[in-house]
Formats: sequence, structure tokens, C-alpha cells
Amino acid sequence: MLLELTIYCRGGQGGVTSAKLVATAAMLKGLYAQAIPQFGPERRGATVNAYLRISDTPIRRRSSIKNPYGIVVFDRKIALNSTAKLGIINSPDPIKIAEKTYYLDATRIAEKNSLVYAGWTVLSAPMSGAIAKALDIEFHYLKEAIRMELGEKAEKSIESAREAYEVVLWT
Amino acid sequence: MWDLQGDLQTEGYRNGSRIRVLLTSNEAIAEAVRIARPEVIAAYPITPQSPIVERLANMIARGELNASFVRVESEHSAMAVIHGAATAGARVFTATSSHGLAYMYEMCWWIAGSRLPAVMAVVTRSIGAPWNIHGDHTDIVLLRDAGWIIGMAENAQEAFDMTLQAFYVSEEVNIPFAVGIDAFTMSHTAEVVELWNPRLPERKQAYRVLPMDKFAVNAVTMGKARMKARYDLALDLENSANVIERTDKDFGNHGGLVEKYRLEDADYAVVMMGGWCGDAKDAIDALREEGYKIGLLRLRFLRPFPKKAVKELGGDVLVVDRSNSDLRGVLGIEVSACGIEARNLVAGIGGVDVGVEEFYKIFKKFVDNKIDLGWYL
Repeated sequence: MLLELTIYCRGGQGGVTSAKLVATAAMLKGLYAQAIPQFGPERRGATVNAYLRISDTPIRRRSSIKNPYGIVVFDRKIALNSTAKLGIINSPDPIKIAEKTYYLDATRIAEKNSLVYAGWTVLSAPMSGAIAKALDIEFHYLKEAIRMELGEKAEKSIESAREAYEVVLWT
Repeated sequence: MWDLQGDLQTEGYRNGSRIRVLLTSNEAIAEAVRIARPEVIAAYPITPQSPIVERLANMIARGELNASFVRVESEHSAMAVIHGAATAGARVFTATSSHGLAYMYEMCWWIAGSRLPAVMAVVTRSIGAPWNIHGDHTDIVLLRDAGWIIGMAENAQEAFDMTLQAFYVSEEVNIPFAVGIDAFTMSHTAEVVELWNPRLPERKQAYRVLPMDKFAVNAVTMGKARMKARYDLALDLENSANVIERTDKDFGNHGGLVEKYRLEDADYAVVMMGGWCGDAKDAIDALREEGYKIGLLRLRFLRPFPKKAVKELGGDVLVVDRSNSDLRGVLGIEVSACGIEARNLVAGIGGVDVGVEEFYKIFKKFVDNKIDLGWYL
């Protein structure tokens, strides 16, 4: 089982961090994982990609992901044409971007928990919650992963991830 | 047992005497350096190497690593600083990439010729012009003639293990050791690594000179003195293969100078080095399933060059290079020099993405006898 996901976001929204959180959660579950940032310049506000691989055996390949099993969209304004099996999108209403699409209002969850830095709503926590749910990774692994990444500052993020994990719906 | 410190307190969890963590190869190298406890680190930042020395600087700032971090104005000075510190008997480390390696090139010869142990991480990146920050092997092959041991890891685990082995081997044979990792696909890709805590012996080296000693090193040589020194270095570099092979099992069991992947019964052998070998292995598995008898000889070391393993290759041989000299790739030239008639493909220069699908097509052409010297453009 090798799952490959491409994350589409804007620089500053926490796409790379969400990949790292889910990869760590997968590792804690006993799986193998890779979290890959977009190589080269990343600019605030510009469209950037991050990549996530999860497997039950060691992952040897490290080239870019061309035909992802799943896509994750942090900003619904990022236009997409996908044939992916799985989609996860930050949107209050259902939008179909893949065969099976999970959707949630991650911005609202993040803002409710004051995850706003320098004017940017940071979505890594709620989006990681939605990704973990869609990939069947139990929440307690993600919770531990967020603790590992953020230490004492983790509580607001854990709450956001928990809410996202619970409210995310699919079409 | 692990004494969990700093980042690792929050990043990892224990698995017996090992801890499993999600780290990039840059971070894994920094963790290995922490364990080796160098006394002097000097470096100048350059993409994609910078996160290695940033992490080390953090360890020093938090008091977890008792080392002097010397900030310098150039890579030439970085290598000069660790040369001086190594002369005085300090365990030393630096890291660089691309133009940084080119800029410190002169000092790389000085430290090797002075027979001083040192470890350097090289995050292999394209050299301009034209400008490019992405991965290929054109920088690290520059070190080929300077008298360094040159290793190339395939993943973060191997980067960690090889860095630890580098300190041991370098101090055993009095030759500096470069640990190579691929830019971004390794340096910035976080993956699962098992960290462990071997005990390295105390620093040792052939000689040392302290500031108060009335002793001059590297004076002008006359007659055959320089030639003799150069011969000794070449011979000892050749023989360092024995130390690398002998200690392989103590540093992760990665195969010594080479990793032989599905080569036992292979009619077709591919020769490569570096992080992209992971994709090549997945492509080889796909071809094996279709009945093609193909395998991979992954060179873990460029110096000492694994001549024995190359000479033992049977059947058809394809060398896939990520650096070139003329139209030929550098490994292609090295393999030919072992008396092997090999086909040679240059690919992936300047970070051009060559993954499983591309390797599958390349290898398919190879077994169908449709590939000769060429560039994968």
C-alpha cells in the first residue's frame, strides 16, 4: 500500500506543516511516511505544493508525485483538474474535486481557535485533522504528532484538528 | 541509552535503544554530528545545505553540543578554520553545496594533503552557470582528485549512519571524508529514521600541532617529498576501503562500498549512486515482475572507487550518471576505467526529475538494446 497525496495551498497557510503532521502521525501508527515541501522558492500568498507519501513498507522513491491518489486543497480558489480518487478541500459547502471528496470549513475552525499569525489564517492543524480522518489514521496519533511538532503551544492546534476530524463530511 | 535533548524531546519516540523520528537527511546528518561531538564547526550558508548547520548552531546555542561554531565570510575560510582546528587536534565538521564547494576547493586539497581527519557534508547541487539550485552530482565529483573519501547516501537513515562512520574512518586513516546527499529530494524530504547512539572512540590523528609548539607544517618540498606524500595518500585512500568494509556492520549494515540490489542472477546491471537509486529500485522491481533479469549496483563510495565490485559485473552494463565530464558521465568514465564496456546515460542534471516511470522507460530501452551513450533530455 503506497498512498501519494499532493497538497495545494498558498505560501503561509501551513501546507508543508500539515504534510509533516500527518507523516508523523502515520509514523507513530507504525507506518512509513515522507513529507516533501515544494523545492525552491516558496512565497507568501503564491500557490505552493507539498507532497505526502504513506506506506506500510519503507518508501524508496523520492521523485515528485505525478498522479496522486489524493489531492488536498487549502484554498478553493486554486483551480484544479483532477482525476484523483480522494479529495480534501477547505470549503463550507460540498465541492467535488475527486471521486470521493471530504470538505470542511477549515478557515472557520482555525479562526475560532485564533490560529492567525501576521494576518494569515494558518490551516495546518484543521487540514491535518481532515487528512488524517480521510486516511483512517486514528486521532490520538495525530494529537501526539502535533505535540511533537509544537510542544507547549500545541493545545489550540490540537483542538482545531480534533474539531476538523469530527466535522469533516464527504460527498 | 538515548539522552533525549532539545528537538528530539518532542520529535521522537523510543523503540528500545533506538528512537524513530521523522527527519530530513539534513536533519539526520546534524543529529549524527551531535553524537560525534565535534569541537569545532565552521560553515558558510548555502542552499540546500544551510539547515544542517542551522540545526547544529541551535544545539550549540542551547548548550546541548559543546562546540565552537565559527562563522566565516566564505567557504574558503570555513575549510581553512577546520583545517587549523584539526591540526590542533579538534574533531571538526563543515557542510556545503555547489558553489560553496567550488569556493573552498583549494583548501580541500590542503586538508587532504595534510592528512588531517575531517568530515564534511556535501548536499549535492548543480553548479552555475546557468544558475540552478537543484540537485545533481557535478559538485561532489570535483573532490575526486583531491584525496578525499567520498560517500553517497541513498536516504536519511544512511545519511545518519554514514556520517557517524565518516568520523570513525576519517580518524582511523587520516583522510578527510565527504558525505554526499542529493539536494531537496533528500536534504528537504522528511522521512522515518531510526536514530541510535553508538560510542565513537576519542579523536585520534597522526600528528597535532598546538599554538605554542615550535613546529612548521607543509613547508616547501624538494625532490620526491611531495610525490611520496601524494603516493602515500593515494595508497592509504585505496586501503581505506578495508576500514569501510570492516566497520560497515557497526554503522547500519548498508553493504560497504556498494549495495548489490537483485544482481545475483542479473543479465543486465545498472550502475548509479545517490538518492535517486530508490526510484531506480522500484523501476527494477517492475521490470523483474515482467521477467527481465535486471539489477542495480549502487555505488556507496566514489572514493575509494569500488573497483572490485564493478569488475565482477557480468552481462550488459548501463551507467546512469548525474554529472558529466565531456559528453560522458563521470561514473561512466570510472566504470570504463575498470575494463567494463558499459553504456552510459547522463540524466537528472540541474534537478531534472527522473522518477520511477522514467527509470522504467530507460531500463526498458537498455534491455531492448536501444540505448548507447546519450543524454536523457
